[in-house]
Amino acid sequence: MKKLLYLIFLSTLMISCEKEITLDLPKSEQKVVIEGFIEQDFPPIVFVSKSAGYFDPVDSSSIDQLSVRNAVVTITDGVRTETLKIYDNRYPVYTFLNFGNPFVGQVGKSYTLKVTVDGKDYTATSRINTPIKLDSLYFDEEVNGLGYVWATLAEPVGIGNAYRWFAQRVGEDETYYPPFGSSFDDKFIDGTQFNFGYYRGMPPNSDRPEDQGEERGYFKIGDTVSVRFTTVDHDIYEFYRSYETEVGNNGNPFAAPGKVKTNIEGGALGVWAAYGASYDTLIIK
Amino acid sequence: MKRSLLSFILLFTFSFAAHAQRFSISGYVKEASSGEFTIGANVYVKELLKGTTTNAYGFYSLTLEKGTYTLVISSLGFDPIETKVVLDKDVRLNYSLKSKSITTKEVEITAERSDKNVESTQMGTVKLDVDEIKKLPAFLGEVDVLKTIQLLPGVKSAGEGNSGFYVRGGGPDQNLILLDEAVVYNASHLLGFFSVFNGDAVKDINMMKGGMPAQYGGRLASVLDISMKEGNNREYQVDGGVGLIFSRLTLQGPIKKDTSSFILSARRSYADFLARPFVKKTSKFYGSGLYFYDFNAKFNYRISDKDRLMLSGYYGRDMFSFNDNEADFSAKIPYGNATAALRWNHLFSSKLFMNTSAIFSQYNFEFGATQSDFEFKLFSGIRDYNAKLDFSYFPTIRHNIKFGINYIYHEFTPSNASAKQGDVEFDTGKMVKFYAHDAAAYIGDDFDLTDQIKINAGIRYSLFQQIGPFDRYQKNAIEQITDTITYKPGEKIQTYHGPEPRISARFGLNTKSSIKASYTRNYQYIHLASLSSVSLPTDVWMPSTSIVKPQLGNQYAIGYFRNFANDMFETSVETYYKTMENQVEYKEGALPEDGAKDNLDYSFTFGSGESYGIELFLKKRLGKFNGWVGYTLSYTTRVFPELNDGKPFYAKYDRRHDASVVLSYDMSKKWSFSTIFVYSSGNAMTLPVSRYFVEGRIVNEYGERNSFRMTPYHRLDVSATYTPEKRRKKKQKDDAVQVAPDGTSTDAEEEAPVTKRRFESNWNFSVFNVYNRHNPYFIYFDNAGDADKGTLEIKAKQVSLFPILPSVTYNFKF
Repeated sequence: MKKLLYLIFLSTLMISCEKEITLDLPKSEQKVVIEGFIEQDFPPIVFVSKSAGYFDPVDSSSIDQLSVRNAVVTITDGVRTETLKIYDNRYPVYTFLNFGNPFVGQVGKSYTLKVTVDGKDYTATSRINTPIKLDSLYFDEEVNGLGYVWATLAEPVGIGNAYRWFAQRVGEDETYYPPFGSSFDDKFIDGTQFNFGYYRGMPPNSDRPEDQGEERGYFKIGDTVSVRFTTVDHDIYEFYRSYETEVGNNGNPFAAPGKVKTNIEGGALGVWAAYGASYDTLIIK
Repeated sequence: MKRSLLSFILLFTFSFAAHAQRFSISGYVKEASSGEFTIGANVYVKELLKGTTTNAYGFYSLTLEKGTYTLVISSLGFDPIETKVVLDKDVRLNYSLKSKSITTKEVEITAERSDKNVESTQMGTVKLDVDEIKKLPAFLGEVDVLKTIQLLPGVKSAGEGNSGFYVRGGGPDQNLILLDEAVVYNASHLLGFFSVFNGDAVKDINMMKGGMPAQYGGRLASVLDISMKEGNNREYQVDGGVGLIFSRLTLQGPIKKDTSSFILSARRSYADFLARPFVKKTSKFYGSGLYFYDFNAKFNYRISDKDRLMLSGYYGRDMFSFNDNEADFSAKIPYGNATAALRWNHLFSSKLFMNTSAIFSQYNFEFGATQSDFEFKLFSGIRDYNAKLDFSYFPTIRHNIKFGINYIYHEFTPSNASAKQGDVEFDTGKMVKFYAHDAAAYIGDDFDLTDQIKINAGIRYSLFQQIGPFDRYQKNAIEQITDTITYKPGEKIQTYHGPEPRISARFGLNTKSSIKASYTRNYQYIHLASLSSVSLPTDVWMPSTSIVKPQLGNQYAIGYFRNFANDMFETSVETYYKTMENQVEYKEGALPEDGAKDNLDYSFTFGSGESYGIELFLKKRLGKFNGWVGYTLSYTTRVFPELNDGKPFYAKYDRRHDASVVLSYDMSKKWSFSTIFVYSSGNAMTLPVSRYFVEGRIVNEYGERNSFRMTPYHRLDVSATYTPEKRRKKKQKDDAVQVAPDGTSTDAEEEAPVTKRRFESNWNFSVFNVYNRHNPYFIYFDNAGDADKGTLEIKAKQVSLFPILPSVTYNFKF
């Protein structure tokens, strides 16, 4: 359907002409943006920033300027409460590093994040759900040794589960990247065993050679792929779905303006996500 | 409600009793040359300074006291007939109007009676004459009924590339569009560049943007009532045209002379319209294209002077195909309407006219796409089976009573998707259909209270009932389905009903001016939900359900009407105020697939609307130089608790200023010129106001809904029509009468059978958007560069559809 709108968009472009215009947009107030996550066995990581005007110039320094370093960030699992802090000013993320008494995610627990910026409190709660293992991983070649990674999942009976997929090429990618459409729920697939495939996610605005040209989006023979398959709360799925729709629609005039959802209360933007993760590795031969 | 009905009955029974012995004059008015019945012709009684007009089937009836009268039968563009009638018994009088001879022909934009503007109770009603529309500049040379309607005050274009129109702050779904009484659900071809109405097959166009009489219902904003030609019942006739976009051909003639006739009309666009000329064979988009075709057909059979049968139909299809050969992706999108109407006119007496209709109407839309072995299909549509019984009763010259009943069985298929990969079918849920009964009864009377005050009062009572089979899903707080209620076929699910009073009154100040006021209340039980900012064939029709309540509209209007200079000029000032309840929008961020395996109406959110405005209209009706100027100032807002944080916002349809100028000049027999200028305030739209980063990617945050305006739209079009000297057609088939070699002309307008005919043709040269204005179609944002490298730039881009476009069309008739 989205494709259809895109087609109509394309075909109208064929007969139309376009020009650059200057828009006088109203000034909007800066909002606090929180992007935080926690996974079982890992400490929480929280990035706090502010939103920028739509046409404000964006570069590395402005991203840096947008980050908030004086927030008070606390986390609680209902029993234990800790304050997160920035350990390395070059990477202004709030976390908790205490090897003697670590605070790491545990399956089945709910975590409440509280962020205070300029005297205002923002809170969110997210639960680490039981990880669900994929039955198997396999590679399906599309062309010239390039293809997608597929998985078989036996989806547990009972509606309400939601998932998010990440993958990393071991030794090549810096981290696990989610592809577009990384999050799905079980509305259509509840209780069934089914196959699904994903293309290779990449860092934003990537200029790596493998993200250009014909290799873009493909895994290839020789890759060792680690898949991080996570279960998430339904509101996390809703956040990522609306986020990906908005990022994907970016500028599409035929799409309804999407309000990206948030699970944070208090007027901030962003997400506080708890992941129940399971890992699998596929060596593509 | 009971009381108002009662007072109705009392009112006219009382007025019957007050008069002496009466007889009626009734009959049909038709065009001499083709035998087509004339809609809205005036039948005027000179002695009484009163009259009536023919109805949609050309029938009129006058009941007068015994005596001798002078009747004047007239319709603009025709020579009036004046006759003496001695009325001492009921008489049946049929009249044939002859076209005005060329030399005295005046160009009139409408076919209204000279003082009808001031005289009638109707407000916000405009009749358009197809022959005159054809002289106006047209987009790519193709005359379009809907585009012309959008030049009237109060009727706004939804924008280029969009045949939808907005009437007085109402949405495109709030217009009742009728083609020979059958509802047309999507009146657009080629994504809205043209409408489904073929000018060669259309006889009469009547637009009501307010104060609609009780026989119409089911929509809040307007009624566009289009009648197809019946077909020439005197002789065979061919009309056609060759243009840049499509060609058309119409064939009509008698089956049995003066008794039965047919008309067949077809259009086909050239397959290459939108994409193909721009797509090279080597392009990855090769094979993409867009075309349409449509047919109109009508058969007309006069069984006797009292009975007449009409069968009419329309079938149209658009096909949009798109290929991306690199991505191994292809899509086909066929969509279109089909309608059929069988009607029977019966005259019970000279005072009681009946029309019975059985109508079928359908719109559907399909989308099929394949990528490698993945297949996706989407289907949506609506289908109606409609039966109607309408009566016109003419008890005295002071009353024209209409009453009737109407029943529709609806079948909605809002949106059904199926997907499969190889042999694996994905479970996208059952095919969901909605079924509903839709019934109404009405009575209305157009009557003279005094010589100054004329009233049209009526009431319509409507009922809508959603019935099974249907599965209603129950949801929990996080919108997960927890339970399903299954309704059996025919089982009642939800019923809505209510009265819809209508009243309009005209108070004559003098013979040249009047004040009119009206109140209209309407229920609308079906809804069109649109995801995007433009209306597309993907928009789905939804019935009222237990979640979606019927729309309710109240409209109040008051206007001043005045004619000048011996009816040369017509002017009016109308103001209106309108409220709309239970308006439907998608929830924020809703996606089209939300309806799969769910009840689609859960993705809707509801609110109310308000619109008010003032419309000014000045028309020069007669003379070589004629045309009109219209201006509208209006405000339209919506309030939805779940949208825009519950704050009021301007509707998509909000246009502050809207103006149009339409001028025609008949220079000579050969040349005529016309021009159109339109101006309207920019469309309201929602734009992002700020940005933030999540996972290193930019996310937009939007400003208040529809708080931004695009730049105003304005455009000038001109056209010239060249009509070459008429030639005689060489020879008519099996025609014994030879045409005189010197070509001496005999009058072709004679009512006697005509065996020789002239070949008529004209060339229309149009230039669209003369000063090449880049009007905004939409605005989008282009992100380029890399945030990490400090090169990220966001540019706003405005896309305009049509630059200056010259075109030429050749039309012929023989």
